[in-house]
Amino acid sequence: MRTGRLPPLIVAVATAACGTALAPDRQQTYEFAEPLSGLAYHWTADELPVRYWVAPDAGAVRDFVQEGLDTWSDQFLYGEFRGILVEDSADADVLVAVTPTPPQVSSTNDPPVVGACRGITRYELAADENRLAGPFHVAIDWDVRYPDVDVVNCLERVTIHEIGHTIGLFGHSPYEADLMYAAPQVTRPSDGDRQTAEILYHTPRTILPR
Amino acid sequence: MLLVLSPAVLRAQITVGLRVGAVASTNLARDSIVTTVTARQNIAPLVGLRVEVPLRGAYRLAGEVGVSRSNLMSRSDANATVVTGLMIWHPTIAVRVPATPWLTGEARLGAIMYAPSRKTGTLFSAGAPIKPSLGLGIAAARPLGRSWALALVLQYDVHKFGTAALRAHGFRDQSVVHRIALLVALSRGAEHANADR
Repeated sequence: MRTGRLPPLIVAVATAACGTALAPDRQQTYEFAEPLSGLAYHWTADELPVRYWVAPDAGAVRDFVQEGLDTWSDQFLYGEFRGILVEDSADADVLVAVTPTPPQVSSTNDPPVVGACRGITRYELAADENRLAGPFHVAIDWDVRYPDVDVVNCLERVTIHEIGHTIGLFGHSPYEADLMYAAPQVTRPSDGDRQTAEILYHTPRTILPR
Repeated sequence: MLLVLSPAVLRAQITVGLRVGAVASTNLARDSIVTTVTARQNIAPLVGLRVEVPLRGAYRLAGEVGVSRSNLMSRSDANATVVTGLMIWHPTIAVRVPATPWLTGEARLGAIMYAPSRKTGTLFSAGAPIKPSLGLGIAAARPLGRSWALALVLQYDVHKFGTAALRAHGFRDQSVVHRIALLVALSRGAEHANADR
């Protein structure tokens, strides 16, 4: 059998570049912990997907909850958060209710931002330790004096904002461009929202799960 | 020179083979989010099909397709999370040359094609990359009868990895991913018959 030399490709392999991609700085963050207590919470991999129940009379808000789950899960490179809708409230980690029943407008437009609705996310801790005592509750209400389209636009923004609270972003951003600004002006998380959520999900939580 | 061979001559000198083994990979991404976060594929079973034809002198030209599949894991401190099942197709062209009667070496040029099985996280949300790869391989072969051979194969390849999602998240440059595979190869063809004579 004849033998020979390997072709010059060896040289190319031997000189192939080495190194890793430079990771981003993630410096556009704001405070994610509960403002008064400083407590922080996020879901862990073994708790995913987080189960969301939406009241049957919530109308378009159900779609906005799904949009919020998709939007927030899309912020994570490594699958740190994922949520699904469930039909049974007893199985849920998060309960969403709307009062009164939202108007029947199926689509949003691009209007000036109007504060036609508001939302609040609550959770209870056990009496003797920093442990969740029940599911998260998201309560959304809207003002009947506003035109339907303004209400629906507001419901979309506020619902996705409240979903942000349920993933653990308890604080509010001081920046208007962020979805987690106290009176949200946008419907999508900004780079600052994304980076804050990423930092949160790699920080030890100080609230224990149920 | 391959083109001047007639189909009959070519058929007579083709070697075909099946190879199975495992492949290990370095990190696809290394991130820093409070702590170090890495995304790396678990050691994966690998199956490959290979065809070889004579090239010139002692050289042989090989075409090979390998496929491997395992979970892509995200790891940080004590946490390990499955990001997605990840299949990798690896078509390769190799030039092989014997160094001794039983040991051969080869240079490899191919493409790494990532195929994630489901969407979790956004690492592949804007598409899975196809990346060129360079590699080397050595094989220690032993004839089995007149036309079969069994070989132990060690392969190494390197490619660059990056996705649109990583760039959108602010990653700069690409990671260099090294892979090493250990395989058992069974092949049949005229080359082994010639070696026996």
